[in-house]
Amino acid sequence: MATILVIDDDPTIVEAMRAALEIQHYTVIGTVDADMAPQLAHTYHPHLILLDYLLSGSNGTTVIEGLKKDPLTAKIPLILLSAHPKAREEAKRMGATAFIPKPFDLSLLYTMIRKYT
Amino acid sequence: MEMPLFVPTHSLDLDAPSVPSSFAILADSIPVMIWKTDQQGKRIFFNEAWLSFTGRSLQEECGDGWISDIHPDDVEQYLFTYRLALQHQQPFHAEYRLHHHSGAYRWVFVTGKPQYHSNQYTGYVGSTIDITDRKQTEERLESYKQRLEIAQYAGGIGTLEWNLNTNQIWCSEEQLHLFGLHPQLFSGKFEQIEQIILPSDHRLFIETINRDCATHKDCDIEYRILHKDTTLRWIKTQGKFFYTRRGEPLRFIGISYDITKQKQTEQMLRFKAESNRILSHSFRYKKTLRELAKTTVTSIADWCSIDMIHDDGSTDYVALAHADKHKVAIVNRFRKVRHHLFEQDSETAKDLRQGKTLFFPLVTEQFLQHHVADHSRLRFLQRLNLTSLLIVPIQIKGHTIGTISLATTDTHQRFDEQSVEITQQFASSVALAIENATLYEELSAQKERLQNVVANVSGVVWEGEGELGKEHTTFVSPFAKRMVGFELDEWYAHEGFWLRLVHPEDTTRVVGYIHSLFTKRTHGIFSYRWITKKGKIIWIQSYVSALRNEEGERIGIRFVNVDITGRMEIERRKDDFISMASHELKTPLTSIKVFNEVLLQLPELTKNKQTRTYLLHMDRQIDHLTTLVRELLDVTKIQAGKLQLNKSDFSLHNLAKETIDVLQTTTQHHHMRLVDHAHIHIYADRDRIGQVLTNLISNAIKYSPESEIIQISIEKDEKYVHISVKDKGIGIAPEHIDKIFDRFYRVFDATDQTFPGLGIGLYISLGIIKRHKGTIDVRSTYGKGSTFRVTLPL
Repeated sequence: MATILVIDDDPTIVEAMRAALEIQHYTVIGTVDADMAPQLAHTYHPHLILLDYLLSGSNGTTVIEGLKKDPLTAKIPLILLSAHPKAREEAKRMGATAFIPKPFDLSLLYTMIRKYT
Repeated sequence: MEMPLFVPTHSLDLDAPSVPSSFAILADSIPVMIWKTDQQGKRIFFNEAWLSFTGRSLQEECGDGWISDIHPDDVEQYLFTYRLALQHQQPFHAEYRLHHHSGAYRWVFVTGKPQYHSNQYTGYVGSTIDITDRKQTEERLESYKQRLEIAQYAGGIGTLEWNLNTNQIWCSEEQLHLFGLHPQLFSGKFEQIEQIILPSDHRLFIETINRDCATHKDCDIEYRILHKDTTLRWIKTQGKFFYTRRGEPLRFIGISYDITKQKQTEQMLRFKAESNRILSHSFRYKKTLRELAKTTVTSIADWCSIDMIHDDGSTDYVALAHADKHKVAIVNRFRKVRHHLFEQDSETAKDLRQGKTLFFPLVTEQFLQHHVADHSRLRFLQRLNLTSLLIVPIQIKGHTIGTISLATTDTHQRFDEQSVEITQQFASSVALAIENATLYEELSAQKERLQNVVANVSGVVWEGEGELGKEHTTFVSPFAKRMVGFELDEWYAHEGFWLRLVHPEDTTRVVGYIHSLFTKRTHGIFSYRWITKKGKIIWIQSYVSALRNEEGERIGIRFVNVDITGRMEIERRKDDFISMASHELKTPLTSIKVFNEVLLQLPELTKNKQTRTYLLHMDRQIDHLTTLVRELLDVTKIQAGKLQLNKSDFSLHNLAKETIDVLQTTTQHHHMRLVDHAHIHIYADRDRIGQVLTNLISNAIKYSPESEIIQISIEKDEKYVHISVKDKGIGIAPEHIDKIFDRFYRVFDATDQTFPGLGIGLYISLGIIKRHKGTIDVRSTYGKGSTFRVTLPL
């Protein structure tokens, strides 16, 4: 099954996502440290990245920019998840593959993952 | 009158009874008519001049023949004179009419003198000359003189001659008439004239005469005299002083005429002009009335009293004037104890109440006794020594509010019809002034109130006239200084000052907006930024309206600008807070939701039916909570006008179907039916339209607990697509139907059924549809169900 990199500053969310994905037999690499994202991507070659867009810091933007610039990670589908109302436009602007507003139904998340892996 | 005699007594030889030929030759050669008598007085000679005058022969004239030439009317008189002279051998002269050969009689002057020869009386020699021309001139002169007298009499012109040495004065009959002096009682002394001059004018009169006399000026003087019958006349005397060669004044010759009428008219006009001036100048009417009273006593009356009379008859003595302050004090003392100007229920008071003018040209003792019952009042009035009295009511709308009382005393002037008319006009003006003043007082009070309000408004109230952006300030409220820092003078000094304050980025928008307001002839509120003197940017909310003239043309602009920087900041913080709060709420919701759905995937849990049901309940409640959080955020966005649309082309059918599928899972009672004929696509925000559909269908479910069918129909016409959600539920009572789209509005049902919710669903739906330039309407029958219809442009 596919490997999914989950980046969210809220450890509970990382935990929940891990539970939700693992039960669907995905391999989950989770982190609360956005700065670790490129390194983890390099190490594990995930099939998809689920990234929380953090507006409180500039991490989200920086992470996406870094991943997009890096030829090794540029092509990995990236789904942005956020509770922030402005995140949808940002996602589009930054070139994210898809956007899922928080909170969401797992069925929607599963559909999206299936679509891009 | 001495006439030249061409016949010197002793130079001619007249000794013979017959006329010697030398005399005849001489007499014939001169143009004067000459005749001669004998000792008996018989005419014995007429010269050629005589004979050619009468056209008769010497024979016809000699003897008594010449008598028939005399005018029949003059014969008797002339012959009497002639014979009397002859009898006493005295010289004589006479004028009579002599028959001329032309047939007419002509006036002749005759002189006759007795002639002596060696002391022996020899007879008369006479000369006769034609004086017709002189006579006519004299007659003409006489008639001129008469005419002048007539003219002077008719014109009321008197003449006088005053000997300055003897102080004797000669007055023409008309002059005496002007002075009101009887010709037989006039002493011819200047002192008698001095006595009739009104005492108050006497000094000026004497001073003027002395001055003009000393400076060799023509004299022109106006003064008042008092006739025996106590009437007052204004006299004007103009004349000249004559002096000796050494410059000592000799006499004064002058003419006089009566200028009373003219003077009165002048006084009236002056009074009218002055009173109008006073009335139009002040709005403090009591002060005005006191001024008016003073004017009155210097022009048309000696006393003036203006008083306000209350309904109970009590009097407010507003103004009282007399040239003499002491007299005013006396009256005021009397009035202090009398609170009524007129005796209660007297005819006088009644008449005045009815608006009648009371006019007494001559106030006599009998008059006072007849009219004044109160004893002390009568005594008081007697002391005032009134000549003439005039009381005019001041009326406003037919109601007497006061009186103007005029009286003359010392000047003895009598009021006449003209005075009445003037005073009535005066009273109307006063009434108007009082009415205006009352209105003005109210207006001033209001204005003051308004000014206080404007001054205390924590905003800039500003008015300016002129072209947009180039207005000159006509008013700016003092708060402007506090709000933007510039002195008020600067507002007045520069055209379009307000526009200078506008933030450069907002200028175009501001001007455009105001233009559009003026074009639509409306007013509006909008916000923009100003830069203060210190360079600080402030947000202002501006209420703008046009100033228009009576023709409705725009002449300027009015702003009421309020500093909303603080409010904007609070608003921004509120927005930030709500987005933050909703974000913060959504994060735990996300993990709860995920965990819950993971639990639902665990077979060891879901095999227990009860556990599974609970987990499903939790899932729905989490969804509901999520919806509430999102709606709160949406309300904030809609309110701030910040709802953003993410438009795309999509199938309404699919959206409706998806929504129905989701919602169908939430209810077992209802059956949702989608009615649409074609796959209609629209370009809109899919999520938001879905949100509206969800809201409408959820409401339909919620408010039709007893009913099954909920019908969703999608139709389109040329321009619009219509989405209807119809239920057969409880319906909406008419009193609520207009309010259900209001924010936080919730219907509390009469049957006490309450329905959960924040009351923001429809508000948000309407906000979303409006952003799509669409509409939502509702038709409902209470107790039978409702149909909500969304209309969106294609």
